[in-house]
Amino acid sequence: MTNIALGRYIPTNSIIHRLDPRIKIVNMLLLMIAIFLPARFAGYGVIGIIAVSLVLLSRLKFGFILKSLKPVMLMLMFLLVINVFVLRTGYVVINLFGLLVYSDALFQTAYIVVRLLLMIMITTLLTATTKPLDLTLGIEDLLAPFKRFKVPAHEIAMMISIALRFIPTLIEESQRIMKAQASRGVDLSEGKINEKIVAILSLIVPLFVSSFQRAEELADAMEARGYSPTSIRTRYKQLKITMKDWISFALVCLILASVVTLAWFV
Amino acid sequence: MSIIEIKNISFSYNNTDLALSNVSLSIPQGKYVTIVGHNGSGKSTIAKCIIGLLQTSQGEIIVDGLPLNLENVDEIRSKVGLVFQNPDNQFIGSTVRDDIAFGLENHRIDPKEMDGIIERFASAVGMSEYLNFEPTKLSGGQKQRVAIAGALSMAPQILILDEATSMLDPKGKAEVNDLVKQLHEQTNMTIISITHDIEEAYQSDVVYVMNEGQVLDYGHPHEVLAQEALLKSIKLDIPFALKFKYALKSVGIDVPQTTLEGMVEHL
Amino acid sequence: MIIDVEKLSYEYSPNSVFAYHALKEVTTSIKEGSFTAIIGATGSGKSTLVQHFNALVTPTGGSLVVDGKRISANEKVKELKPLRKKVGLVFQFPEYQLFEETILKDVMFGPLNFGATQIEAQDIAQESLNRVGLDSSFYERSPLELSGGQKRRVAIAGILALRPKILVLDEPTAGLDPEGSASMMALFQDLNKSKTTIVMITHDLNHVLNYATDVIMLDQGSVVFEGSKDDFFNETNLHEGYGLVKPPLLELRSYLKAKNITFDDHTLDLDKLARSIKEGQRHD
Repeated sequence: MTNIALGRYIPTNSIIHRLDPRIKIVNMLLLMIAIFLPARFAGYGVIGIIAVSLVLLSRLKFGFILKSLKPVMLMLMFLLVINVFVLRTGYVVINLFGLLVYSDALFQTAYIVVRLLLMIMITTLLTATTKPLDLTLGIEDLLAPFKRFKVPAHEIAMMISIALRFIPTLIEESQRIMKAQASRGVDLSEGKINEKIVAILSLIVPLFVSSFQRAEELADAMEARGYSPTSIRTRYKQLKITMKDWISFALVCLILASVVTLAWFV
Repeated sequence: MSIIEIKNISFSYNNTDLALSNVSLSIPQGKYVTIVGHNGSGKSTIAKCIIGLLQTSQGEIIVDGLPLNLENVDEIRSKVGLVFQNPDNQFIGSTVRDDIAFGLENHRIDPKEMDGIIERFASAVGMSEYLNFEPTKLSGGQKQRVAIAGALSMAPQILILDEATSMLDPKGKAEVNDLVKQLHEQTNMTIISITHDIEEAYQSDVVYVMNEGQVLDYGHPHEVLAQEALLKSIKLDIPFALKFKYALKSVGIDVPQTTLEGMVEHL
Repeated sequence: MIIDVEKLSYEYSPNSVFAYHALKEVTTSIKEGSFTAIIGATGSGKSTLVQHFNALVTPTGGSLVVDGKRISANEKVKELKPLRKKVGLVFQFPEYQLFEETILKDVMFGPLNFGATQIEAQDIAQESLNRVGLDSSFYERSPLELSGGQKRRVAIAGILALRPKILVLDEPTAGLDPEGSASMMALFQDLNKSKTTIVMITHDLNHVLNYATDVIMLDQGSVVFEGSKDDFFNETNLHEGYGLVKPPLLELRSYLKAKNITFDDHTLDLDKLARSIKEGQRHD
């Protein structure tokens, strides 16, 4: 469980870590928009340089970022093959045993690969430099203006933070259940398909049952302590925006502007 | 002067069997009260009824002069701190700090003052060094102490411990019981402990004995819990000190005292 | 000796920052037919030790022999499934493992996993449920309807249905009220009389006092005592400290000693104790 690279927080305590989560989320969204503008390699080049600089600033290792790409490698290979067969425009780049490979096929695939790479870099940067709870606070504050449109910003944030709090507890519990059922002869490596289904149920059902009971007890405890999602409440953790946050925001806006220019005015 | 008056309440979980049947209780202010009974006697249902988590089908509950109803329930909840049985399922925050803060947030305390309050109450329960710890790194006893800190931070007049030590190991039980004893001695908070531990009940000021959703007897533990036949009939045992007293009696030694130390002194 | 443990070591997450030695070269044994209590503070390694008995965990150092089967560190364990049947392990708060639609089906789950036919499993399940005091009216009910104590008995029936030679229990009375606790211990005592070796992890020294024949005490991954229950209480002071709580009988003995009152300090029975005080008084 602790080996999942994607989404994990890495405390390298860089300047990026110290930026306000709200600014980081907004910056990320703006950079994502930039990635999808049709600015071709020039645009990707700009974003790429920025992304690499950010990774350097965050003191994360490049290997870590590349590990996050692993899951999509297979899909990208598949995509390349499909594009080679389907896209037959542009000039012929190479002749592979009678199969003509066109330039557009290669370029289009390259664009997708680059976009994916940049997207993963940016999102990994966000999750690696921001504690999950700070992210939640950021999301809550950013969604707050939408409360007038009935978006339950606070409730969403509360649900996320409770879920985060219980993930390690649930992992421990599932391990205990697995051991208990293994002691009753559950062995997922053998057995016919229907036996395996019962075995899996013996792991999932107890987890569900205990989660429902847990939810009920939690709700009682929360109510007993005066909680009501609709009432006004104060918040212990306060977020503060400082100069470096505004500077980073300004820089990202500048980048977006340059990419827009490259996309349509160059 | 009773701080909680419970008059003729009844409650059923499934509309068939009564978990509480016409129960009346009077909790004297400032005392350490225990409610004992075996599991299923109805004792745990009472705590939830007092703060309106469960709605009784009849009777009334008055807390510090306020009748329990929709208007008063929030105020009553701030007067009563409740610590539940499962240490994990009442720990809401991601760290000790955040968990104590939860109650403060609900009561709209100014965020600038929260740190001071959190540190004060963490210190009161002996958890100052654990403020930034996550719950998975804490023992059951530690988590329950955090729950008590959270309850205390609301300055309640009444603290109810609903089987708060049932799921703890002996070390955790001792930590929590010592803390509660300390609170009883140093404050004038009313403490209600719902338990099946007869030794704990023996140390309290007033004990209520429950069975099958009804109150069988109540009064000073040294008298109430000396009724061997009564306790055995509801599947409870008498406190060890009394067992010793009766064992001595059966060999012809009479000891008037009711505590172990007292009896040994006498000998 | 039905279980022999030789210099058993277990390390969590070796070669990482989280490496932790739960067991350090533990050498001990369990007598066949005994009622052995394993005690020690939380974190002393008790659970890790017993999880070796049914090969849920395998040693990182040393070895153990369970009813003739040797499990050594760095050797792949072959055919460990039969061991899971011979050594029934009941975890703490076992009621959390119930999952089937009916109680009978849940108890049948174990035997079915070990190759019993539906009929065989049903018979064994009914027998096991009766053993734990749940009659036929419970068979078709959902396990979720029951009280905590009843659910626990269903879970234990589920392990008894494996007909284990050795029954390992991790704090079986945790959270139960005195009556629930007493009837549970009576069940284990009964099983022990029918030749099942019982290994019980417990924090309750009263249970050790009243039911155990032998005691193994662990502290921070090492054995600090192994021997008979009588020796444990009478010959050592180990029941003080180590995160254990003294049973009231022993508290009483301390008070009596402190006040120089003559009594038989080798008895663990309250009535005998009272009589010995009377005797002592007559002599003074």
